[in-house]
Amino acid sequence: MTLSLPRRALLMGAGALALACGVLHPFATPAVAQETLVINTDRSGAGQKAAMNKIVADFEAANPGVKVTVNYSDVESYKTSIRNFLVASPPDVAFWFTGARMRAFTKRDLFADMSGFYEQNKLEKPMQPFLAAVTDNGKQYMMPTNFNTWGFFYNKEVFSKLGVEPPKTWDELMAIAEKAKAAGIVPFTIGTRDLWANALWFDYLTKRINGLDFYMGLMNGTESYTDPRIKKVFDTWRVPIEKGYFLDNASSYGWQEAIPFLAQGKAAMYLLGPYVLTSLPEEARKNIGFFPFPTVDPSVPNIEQVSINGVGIPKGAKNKELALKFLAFLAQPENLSAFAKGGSVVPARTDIQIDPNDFASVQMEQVRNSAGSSQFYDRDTDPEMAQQGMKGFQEFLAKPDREDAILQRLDATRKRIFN
Amino acid sequence: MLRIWRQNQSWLTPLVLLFLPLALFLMMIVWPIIQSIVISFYEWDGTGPATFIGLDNYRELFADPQFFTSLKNNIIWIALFLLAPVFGLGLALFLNQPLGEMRIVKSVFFIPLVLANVIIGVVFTWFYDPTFGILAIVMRFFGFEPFAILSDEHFVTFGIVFAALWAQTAFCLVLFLAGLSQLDGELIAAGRIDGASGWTLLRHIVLPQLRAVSFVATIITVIGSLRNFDLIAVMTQGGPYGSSTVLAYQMYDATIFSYRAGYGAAIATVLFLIMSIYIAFFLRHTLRREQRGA
Repeated sequence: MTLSLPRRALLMGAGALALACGVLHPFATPAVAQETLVINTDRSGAGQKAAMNKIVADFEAANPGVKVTVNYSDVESYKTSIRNFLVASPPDVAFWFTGARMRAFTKRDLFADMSGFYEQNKLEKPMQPFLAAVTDNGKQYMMPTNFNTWGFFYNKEVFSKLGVEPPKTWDELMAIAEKAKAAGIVPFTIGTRDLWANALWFDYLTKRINGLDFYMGLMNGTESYTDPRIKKVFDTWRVPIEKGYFLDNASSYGWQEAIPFLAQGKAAMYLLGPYVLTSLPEEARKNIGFFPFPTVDPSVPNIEQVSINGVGIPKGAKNKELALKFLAFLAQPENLSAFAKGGSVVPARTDIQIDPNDFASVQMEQVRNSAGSSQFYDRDTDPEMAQQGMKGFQEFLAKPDREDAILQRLDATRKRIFN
Repeated sequence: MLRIWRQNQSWLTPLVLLFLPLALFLMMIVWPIIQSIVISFYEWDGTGPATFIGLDNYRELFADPQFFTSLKNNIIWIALFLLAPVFGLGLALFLNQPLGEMRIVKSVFFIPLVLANVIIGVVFTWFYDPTFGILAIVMRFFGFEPFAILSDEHFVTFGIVFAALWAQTAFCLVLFLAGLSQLDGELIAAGRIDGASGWTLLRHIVLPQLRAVSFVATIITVIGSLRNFDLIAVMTQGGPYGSSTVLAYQMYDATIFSYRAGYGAAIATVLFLIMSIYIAFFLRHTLRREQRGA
């Protein structure tokens, strides 16, 4: 019969299908209803990633039926994608910077208000010093996770070869730079391709020469970039630039690509954050020392740069309840502590004992000695101002003689943005 | 039912067949273009409420020195990119030899086609690295001071174009190789009998047959140079201080980093108008050829 073959094939196919269904069935409908939590994060360094993976695994173990997906992404590309995903496909939890960078999103109603969270989880007291950074219009939109300070990382071997000690004043710093330069070592390595590393010099000099109030005025657009006080900042900054103390062709390197110069002893110092340490292997780290930005004008108190990172829940998150639960879990001292340690940063809780051998204790000390702080140029001012400003600083580092043109351009931008 | 179909088949069939492509074209291409032009008249951060500001974005754009830097760089891109079809043709003529060994040589020249632009950008960034890059090592070997091409505001664009040209040449090479394989052997044989050889053969017999391919290669190259963005993003992020920015990158920078979707849309509109010139030229040429052919 001609029909027999197809019919048999059909039967066999049906049998196979039934078998497949039987096998697949137990997986298709599990006993406990699945809940998923999606986390987007830029804390993708090896240490912090490992810490995060452990916290997530513990959270899943403590909450049966919960499946957590963590999307890691590198810092620079995260910056370009976050606004899109907050609008188009919001995760349940998103890590981000606090301060003006958070407010850029809360202003656009992209982060959910989580004001009650602190009281419910008794976090008001331990997180008190960081709450201002996550507050907009009296409401809290993020949970601070950690903070870090900035300063000079130096190559200990190079310093001992030059016979110098970490400086306390700007003049001492310049003297060390001169010695290094004479010995054929680049005094300051820096990578300005992704712009921000260079803003540290501007931030520190502005605050140490003109004080915090002027700096914040500049960030809020009430002070001008053509002000004589800014001129003074650039005149101070110009000296090391014109003497050739900075790495040549800084804009050819990203901030990470400039670290090997320091590690290999080709450069003496790098003004940056703890990322210098996390970017280096364990053995190389031992040779790297740290000192805070030296005093520039003794009559101006030493204002530090303290950047607070946090985590928030996007307005469009599908699973806000679970997200809050996860944040509360992350906020537990041992979890927050492990998370911060993975990135050589300081956990954002005042009641956590910091390991005195860890770099976090150095940063904590720096904060204690500081007469006040701001976060970072691109977290304290309007995002567009920050972008244009940092381009201007990059240009100044390469062509210091264009100072006036740069400052006039920046002031025109400031007027347009803040009018 | 069947009768209605039969009576109107002549005009219904094209309608049915055209529906999907037309709908897709309208939805994915025409509509976003209109939307983008509309947005360019607004001040908008991309998510919040938008305010109508008329031509202010364009006024600002034409007073923005960055715009002219971008425009200048776009012109450099187009001019240098047009070398790609020339090099591509030269290479294709060289590689179009019936030798077995040529296959290996060909595959070497095809490599850039297999690589994503982003990877080409990263590789060339390392190549240009003024300390650890091969270029620097070679220059030091010959006793020259290494030259940081990506940090020099005058040369940075040339550095990026060179990387892009490497890939674009391979693309044109493939087009021309395909074109060469379609050559009419009889015409060439006839030419040879009439005593043509070398340059004359190329100029009067081969090149006329490659006209269509050359045309396509040129147009695609020009459009490719105008929309180039990825290499710049990877290699310099438009820097140093905006000196390697082209219009497409400036649009991205304004929209993504400065949160100015309106201003970005205005840049996109200008870029669209520039591209339209080439597209119009392309369409006119294609239509004319089709008319002649028919």
